[in-house]
Amino acid sequence: MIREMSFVAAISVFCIGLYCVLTDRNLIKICVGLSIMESSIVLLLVAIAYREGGLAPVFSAEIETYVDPVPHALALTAIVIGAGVTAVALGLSVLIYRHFGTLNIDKIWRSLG
Amino acid sequence: MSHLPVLVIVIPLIFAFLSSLAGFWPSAVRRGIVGVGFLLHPLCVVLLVSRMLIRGPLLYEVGGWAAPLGIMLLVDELSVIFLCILALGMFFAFLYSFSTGTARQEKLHVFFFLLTASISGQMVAGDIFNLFVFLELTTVVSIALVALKKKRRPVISAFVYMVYAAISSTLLLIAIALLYNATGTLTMAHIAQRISYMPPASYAVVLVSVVISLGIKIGLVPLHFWQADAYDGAGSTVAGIFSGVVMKAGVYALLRLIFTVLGAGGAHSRLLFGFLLMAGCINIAAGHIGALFQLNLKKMLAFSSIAHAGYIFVGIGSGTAAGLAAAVFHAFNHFFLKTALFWSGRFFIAGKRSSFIPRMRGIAVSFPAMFIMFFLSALAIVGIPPTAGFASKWLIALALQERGLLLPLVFIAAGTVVSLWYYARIFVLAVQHPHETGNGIQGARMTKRQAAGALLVLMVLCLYSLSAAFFPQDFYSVFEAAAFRLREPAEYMEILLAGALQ
Repeated sequence: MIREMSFVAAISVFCIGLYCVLTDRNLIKICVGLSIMESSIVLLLVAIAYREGGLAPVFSAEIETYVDPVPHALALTAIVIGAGVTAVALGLSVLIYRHFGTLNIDKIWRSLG
Repeated sequence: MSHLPVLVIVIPLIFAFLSSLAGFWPSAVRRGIVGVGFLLHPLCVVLLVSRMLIRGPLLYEVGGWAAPLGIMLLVDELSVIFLCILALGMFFAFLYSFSTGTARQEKLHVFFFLLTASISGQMVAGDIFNLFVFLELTTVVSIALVALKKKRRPVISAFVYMVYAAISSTLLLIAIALLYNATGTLTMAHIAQRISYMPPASYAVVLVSVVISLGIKIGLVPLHFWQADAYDGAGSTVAGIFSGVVMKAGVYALLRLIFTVLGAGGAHSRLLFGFLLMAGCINIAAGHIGALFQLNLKKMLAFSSIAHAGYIFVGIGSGTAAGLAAAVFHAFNHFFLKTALFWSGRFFIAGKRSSFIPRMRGIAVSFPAMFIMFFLSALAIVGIPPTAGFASKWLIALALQERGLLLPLVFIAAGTVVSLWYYARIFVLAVQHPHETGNGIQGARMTKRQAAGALLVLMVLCLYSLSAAFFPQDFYSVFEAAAFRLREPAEYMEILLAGALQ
């Protein structure tokens, strides 16, 4: 049950991020939306790794159920990639601000003509 | 020798690092390093390709760890075909880039090495997560290449590209997470064997996510809006690479995921093939019509790229091995044709200081050699026999006709007529007498030597497109073998895994 609920949560977070990216007019907020979208994946991966009553995947003779470590590795990689993409996005936003003096998409399109 | 699959990734990465230290080296040393790097990668690819062709597909265990614990690299006919596109493309781009200014060259070369490493990684990746990581790296490097000019429009195009790419990569990651959830593994070979046990509902979600995600990267029609601006914002050298190589990397990832991993070769995926067929037709129509109404030369070529992605989709959508082989062959040919068009077009744009097509008056007089190359490639991409463009379009058409799919055939024929129209328009303008004189190579701010190097590259590209139809049967049988393996992944992976365990 808790697993299904986390799937629903992950998809909801994804949709919130996507909505933000598609509707917001401010470049920085679009970057925030991208970050939210990416973090939904981390949530999904953690939910996939979850096992009922499982403990941290450190090998020991007494413990029987572990949570799955592979999705955790994927989540770490996804976080790193997400950080990289966010950095590039913010860097581009800085460049755009230098050229146009605004971060509002409507104003940028208008000044491009 | 046996470590070639990993060397094709590592070598360009090392040279990317070395060449990024350009400021510390004297100019001659820097050039030497870059030259060695750009020779070494094609050499490795040639060795890898010949090894694969002689001994058959191979699985490589990175660090000697077997699949459930370690990472596997997979090299088969499909990887080899796309690795050839990459190696040729980057090698030619390197030669061609000498016709650009020195300051720009330094930056370009670093990104070229990174692009080579990431796309090589994609071509040999044996598990879906590595495929994703390298795909993501490719995208980030492409974004940097678009924004390299730092002018107003390129920076905006790069941002738009980035937003699309981020949505695409998130979707792909969702698909990967669901695949792992259902099969408990990330190795392609293992997923291929277990995919038939996956629940149909989550299979459908994965399939749709993969097609939409890679559709964004390739330029599937309602998702193509970033593409023309990105190609226009990047320089022509880079645009040629985007259309010729980066787009093909997306095609490769799509084929690998829907066939080898998701096992879409069987009869149960008629719905998918129907969708790809429709999407291909829409791409052909929208791409050619977009190109027809486009007055910017680079954007026109970009829209033509979208149309050619359509031909590839139609070939895959025909659902037969012959159609699949023809689609891969078309992807291979499109690299030579479109890259030559972008790279010869660059001289006209530089000479006229504008990419506005109505200003292209008299380019045939100012740049006779370049124009001949442009014209030959245009003929080939329209599909005039006996060029390479004709050969692959004809094979796609044959595969469609065999299945009795007539509507896509109409789209292909109509598309050919429309594309003939928009290239003829340029031809008519080009052969008129120019208004102003004193243009030509000097107008493009280039020395004779730089222009000669570029011309040599263009001649090689054109030579291929004129002669490909006459290549021996062995050449095309590689494409057929690739298509055959794509359609029978489970059996083929079993054999490969058994071989790898020994």
